[in-house]
Amino acid sequence: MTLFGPIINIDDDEDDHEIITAVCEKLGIRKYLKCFRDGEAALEFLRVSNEYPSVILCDVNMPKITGFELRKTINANNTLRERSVPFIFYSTAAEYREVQKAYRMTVQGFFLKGTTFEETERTLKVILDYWLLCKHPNSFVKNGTVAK
Amino acid sequence: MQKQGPIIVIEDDRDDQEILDEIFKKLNYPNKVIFFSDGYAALDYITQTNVQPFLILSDINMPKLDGFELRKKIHNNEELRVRCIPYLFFTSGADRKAVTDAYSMSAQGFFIKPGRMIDLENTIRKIIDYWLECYAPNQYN
Repeated sequence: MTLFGPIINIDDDEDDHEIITAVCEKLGIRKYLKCFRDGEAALEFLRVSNEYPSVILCDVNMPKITGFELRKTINANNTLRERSVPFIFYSTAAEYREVQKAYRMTVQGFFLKGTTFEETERTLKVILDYWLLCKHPNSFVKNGTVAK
Repeated sequence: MQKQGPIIVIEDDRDDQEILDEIFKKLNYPNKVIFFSDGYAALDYITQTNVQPFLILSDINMPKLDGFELRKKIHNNEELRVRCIPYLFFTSGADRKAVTDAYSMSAQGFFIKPGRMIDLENTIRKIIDYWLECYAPNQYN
């Protein structure tokens, strides 16, 4: 599997980082994975990095800033917003109110975290298969610059 | 999105409609597939019924009301916007501006129609797999 940019995973749970890292290792895409433990660190990366994410998987409930607050901050800045597609919530729960709130803020998906290695592998594959085919602003990036 | 709801395809090209129809028949999902040849016909159907689509695939270049204009009308209406998740563009070409504009109107995807049957089938399957697993507001109704 060849990706054009990093998979950004924002999650405060170390165990979840470990599972997703192991899954990426198995899929041969470990080098693309960038894990952040909170929204601020991810935001800093999105602001300064010249890499364009292939996909952003963001937890909802996190200390400091929540996934929703992070999404709101991204939405408020045009450059950040364009760079942050696809933005997908990746959470341990999918309550109606949270899902509704997520789509109001414009997201490209809301998935439940797998509880096992196998479930996580399956979910991650479904997400990557879709976004490798699907065009988004970052899919026009070649060699670190945006094609016109 | 209701997982059992219909798949709505908005496509003015009869040949493309037929090919898609064939593929959906082959893939044999339980969802009904409803085709519209222009944006107004689709909009009428969505507004005049309380249909809860599983997914909407919309072409962009169409006579009368094109895909972007249709999306704008849906996006500007809160009730329609929630009911029409996921809304995917499914078209024959793309530049970065069109794609960026699509996401700024909250599209959940932008796909280039593959030319070969096998690739088209593969694309449809990946789209369905994603939305079967993904949560969206309307499935709680």
